[in-house]
Amino acid sequence: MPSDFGYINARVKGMRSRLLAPGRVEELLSLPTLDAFLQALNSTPYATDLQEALSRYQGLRAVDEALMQHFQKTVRKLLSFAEGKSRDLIEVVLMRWDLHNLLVILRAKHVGRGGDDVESNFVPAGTLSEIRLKELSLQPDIAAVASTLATWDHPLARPLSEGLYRYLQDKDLMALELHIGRYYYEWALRATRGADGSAASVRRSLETDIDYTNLATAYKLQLAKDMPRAERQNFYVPGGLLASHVFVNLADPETAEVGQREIRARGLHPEGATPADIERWVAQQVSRQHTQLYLGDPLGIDVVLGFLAMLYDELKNLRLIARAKVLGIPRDVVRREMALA
Amino acid sequence: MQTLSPTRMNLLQRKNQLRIARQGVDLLKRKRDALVADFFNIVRQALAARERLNEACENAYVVLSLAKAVEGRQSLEAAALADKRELLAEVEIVNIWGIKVPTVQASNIHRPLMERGHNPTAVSARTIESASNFEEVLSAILEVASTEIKLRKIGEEIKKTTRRVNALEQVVIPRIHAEIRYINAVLEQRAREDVFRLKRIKKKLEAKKA
Repeated sequence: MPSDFGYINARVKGMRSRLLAPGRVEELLSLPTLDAFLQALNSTPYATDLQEALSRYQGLRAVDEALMQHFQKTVRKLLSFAEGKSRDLIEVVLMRWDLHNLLVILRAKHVGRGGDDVESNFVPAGTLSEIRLKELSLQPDIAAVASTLATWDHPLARPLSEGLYRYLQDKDLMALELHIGRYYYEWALRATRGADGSAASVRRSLETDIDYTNLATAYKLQLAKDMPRAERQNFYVPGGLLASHVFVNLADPETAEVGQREIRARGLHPEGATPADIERWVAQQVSRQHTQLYLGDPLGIDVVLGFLAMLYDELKNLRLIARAKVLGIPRDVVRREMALA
Repeated sequence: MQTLSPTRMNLLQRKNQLRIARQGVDLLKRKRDALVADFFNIVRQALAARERLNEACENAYVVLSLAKAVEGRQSLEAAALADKRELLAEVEIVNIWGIKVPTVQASNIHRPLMERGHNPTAVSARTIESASNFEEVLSAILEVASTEIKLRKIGEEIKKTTRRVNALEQVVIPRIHAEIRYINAVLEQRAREDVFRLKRIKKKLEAKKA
């Protein structure tokens, strides 16, 4: 099977046709009830997953499960026709789901929970299969999770092992999570070093993610009024274009204005008064930048990155519409929250 | 009535009982009035608490739904896994007009950002807002529980007091009245008999003399 992005992109472009057109999304938004929404969703590519989900769950839970199942299937399908270097690059991007799943397991082990509580929160869209994730969740504690991950030679095993000693001493899960999160970006940036155009695209995409993550984190940290300035530095993720002193200035309510001037000077103009507004703006910027990649290099990873962003945006939009039907959230509020498609 | 011996002692006792029963009715009515006034004050508090709870729930569920839609159920529930705590509620018994009413209070419901155990780099602002909103819901639930239990206890006491007033007014006082009437009637009859007997004796004595 060919491994170059030319072939992968041709397949991805075919898969793009299965995404819902903006007009169709608008139609779904205008439906009066959840039942009508479910009926309409049955005539889309989500039909099979929806019917399967409806046999196990009801209402919103069924919608959530169907959408997530569809997302996972699409990602697996995409990976199935990639191999070699192109697959490695796609896996670097998908590794963020491994990070999510690992954090789910660590949090569950931290509070001594297991079983369905943990497994129902997995999103097996990364490199770790559902079976492997289940095996990890069956481990008795975090140390055993680290050992199992290390035996599979998974990239995230290293930061977990590094942070384990400190965790066992002070039981500070957040420090461990921060260490693993920072390591993921560090590892991904290292893995995408080089002159290759696709690797450069992934690197740029990661840098954008890091910058916007730092930006959103800084605004959230403004809520922690009595946190020492030095402690705010711990939440900074290196690797982006936003410098750490700018992050700290922005994260500290006393120097937030200075920080805002500094980010404006770097061309970032976040809109909104609350951290949630800023985060919405950040999500829209990330979504816009990633979806634009779809129109990028037809022989590089850009098309895949753009498609994955569009696919996830569609999933978010459909989840929003479903909830709007149940809770009667006004259409303009939903539109404001919707990701750009 | 058959077991009641119609003596002056019993008459005095019944009159005393009647006086005490009337005093009791008066006292109970005043207690009931005070309880009703308290009840309406607490109704206002309970309505305000309910309104606060409804508002808090509305905000919390909308934000939670938005968070679930944007972040996904999985991310949200994963964040909740790390946010586990025990909340101790203090139940204090307060005496209101002789009624023992429990008041429920809990401190530290609202926590600062970092005490929730959420990693701000991995958890969205909506999730943080959602957690904060549900802390407000919890606080409102405790307020509703506290005011509504007070309301129920006072309501029950008003019902009990009204039943007592009714029992005194409709049963006890009329029964004492009837007993007093009976004793009076018997005593008057006895007095009349005595007078008649004395008159007859007097007549017989006068006849003997003549």
